[in-house]
Amino acid sequence: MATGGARDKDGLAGAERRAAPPAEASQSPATVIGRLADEVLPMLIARLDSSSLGELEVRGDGWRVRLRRGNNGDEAGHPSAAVHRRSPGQDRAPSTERATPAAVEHGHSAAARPQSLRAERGRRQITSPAVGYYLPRAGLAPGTQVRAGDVIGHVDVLGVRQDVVAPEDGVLVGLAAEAGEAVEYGQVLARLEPGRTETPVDAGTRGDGAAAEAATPLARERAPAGAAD
Amino acid sequence: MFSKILIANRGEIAVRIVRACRRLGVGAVVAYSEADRDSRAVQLADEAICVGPAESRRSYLSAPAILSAAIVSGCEAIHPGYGFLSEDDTFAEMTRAHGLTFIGPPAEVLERFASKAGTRTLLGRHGLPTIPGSSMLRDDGHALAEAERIGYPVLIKPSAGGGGKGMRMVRSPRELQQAMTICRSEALAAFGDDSLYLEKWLDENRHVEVQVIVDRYGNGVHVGERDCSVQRRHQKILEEAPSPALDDGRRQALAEDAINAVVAAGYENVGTLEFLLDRDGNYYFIEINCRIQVEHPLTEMLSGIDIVGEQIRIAAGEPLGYSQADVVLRGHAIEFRINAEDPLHEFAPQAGLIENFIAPGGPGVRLDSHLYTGYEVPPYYDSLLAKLIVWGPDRTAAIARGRVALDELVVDGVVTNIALHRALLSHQVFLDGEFTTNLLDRVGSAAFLAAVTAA
Repeated sequence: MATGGARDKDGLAGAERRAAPPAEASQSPATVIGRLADEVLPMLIARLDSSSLGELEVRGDGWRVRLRRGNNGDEAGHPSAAVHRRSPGQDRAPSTERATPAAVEHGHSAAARPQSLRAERGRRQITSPAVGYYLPRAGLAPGTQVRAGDVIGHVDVLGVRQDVVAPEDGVLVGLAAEAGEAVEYGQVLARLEPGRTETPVDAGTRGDGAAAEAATPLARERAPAGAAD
Repeated sequence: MFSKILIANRGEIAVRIVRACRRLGVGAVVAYSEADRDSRAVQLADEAICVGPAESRRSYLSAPAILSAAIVSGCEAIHPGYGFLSEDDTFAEMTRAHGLTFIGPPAEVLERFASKAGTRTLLGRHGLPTIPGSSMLRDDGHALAEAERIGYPVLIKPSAGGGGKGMRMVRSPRELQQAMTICRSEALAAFGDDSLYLEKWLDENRHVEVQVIVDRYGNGVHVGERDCSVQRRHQKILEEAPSPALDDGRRQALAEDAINAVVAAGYENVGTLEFLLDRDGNYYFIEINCRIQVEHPLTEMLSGIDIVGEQIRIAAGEPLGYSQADVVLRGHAIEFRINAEDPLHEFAPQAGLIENFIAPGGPGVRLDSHLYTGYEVPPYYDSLLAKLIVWGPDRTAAIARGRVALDELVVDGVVTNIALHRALLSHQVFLDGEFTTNLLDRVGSAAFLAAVTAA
């Protein structure tokens, strides 16, 4: 279910018109036809993103795409500023002589990190912060406007909810996972057309518009300082 | 038997576990980090599920991520491989609490064998010779008396910790008195506890270990021993079985002592008991590894038993189904750990693109690896690239096959330790079967390589 399919979803660009490649890699797409931009590029970007490669080159019939990693560094290279809390199940047997590698990353700020980093790299995808069951916020639909830091749903990890956070302001243009679906870490859950529209969102399409607005400052506070902006 | 299990590991051992699943008809789901998306295990698996970023603490070491992956993919059990969560009794307990089976000893067994000192006491009571040592040292006078009784050299060890902190080897009463103060302050700083004890230090020791398999119903067999004396900085680089340092009488006594003690102490599933062997052939139990070990293929080559398959079978509650008399060990096997590391430069780990990879073949040659041409070795994990295992009817034949296979093996793109293995097979001390654990560090690997290649 979530497993092989997750990778396939990366390859299908869905409603998104054109994936924004990292700034450094923007030379070649100018010559690339629409299908390439819609289908191949997002997949390649995801590939590059998940690998330790610095550069990725793919050749096809009469075309060639080369992607180079930006200077944002890798997630693994970042100092782990994530909040670590022990889950209730682990309080029982803390062994003194061994490290407890099972220290859990259930903290909200930990959950927000990968998404924020994706935002830094110019991604327009909202991805899963963990492996678990996806629970989108009620009323979420294409056209819903979100602001950076908005919680658009949760991923249930052993009964603990991890926030799915919009990395930047924009309008949801595609929902890639359904309520209750098993999702893996990094799986694309929704796509975002960046930019803030000046017209206020129709409360009808938001469903819980007022509540979401009220929740926004809180959600922002949870994100690591500076990362979401 | 399980219908589907989660493999919570990476590299060659994840591939090895997928193979065991295939043979048993069990579905294999590989949990992987973002850095391992293109790994061989992911390609071979029936399903693969990304559990987190490259950083192990948030992927392979994250109990919630691994458990959640097992649950959402519909697995009934989790195979932890080696390292990572493999000996974590809390994880084993969490696995059970979520209605899944931990493929390894049950949580309470892991807990019983978690403390090294406690395990030595426990298995000592069940007849295993343990390394001579003191009780907790009260004062310097007590320490001097105990050291005299044990016999110099002795190792001063803090009772609270590990990792070499607060540890000193001393050869005389004077050295002992000087070192006690330093060890106490180091132990206090590191562990908040300055209690020390003494252990006999074996200068020229060998590392020998016994493979055991015990089912849930108390049926157990040993599958002989392995010799892991070729080490650098306490890390094994080449192993062989049987040990050239034991005669048949001692070999049998060691293995029987080991299996009798663990069965009596209530061990379950596969495990390895590690011993130090002194020059006179005396063996001392040091610790038990409650998991599959890197060097398990040696035992598989000698016995024909699929040890990973046995782990899964036993965890599923199946009885052993055979007895000691059915375990027949034939010939001699050697395992070379092919690591992405530079023996000429302090074994610095390497990462990068595998430009060309060609596995050796022929009779008695086995290669367990996750490599393929075009694979990118990520920099985040251990440096093991492959295990080359050769078998021959005797040690000489195995060494000859080892030479041929090492010459055939091609790993281009990263620096490896293949040359070091070739050098070992030309080294007289190794050929004589007399390698001790300190030899490589004492000589220095660069000097070792240079001496052999010059000869």
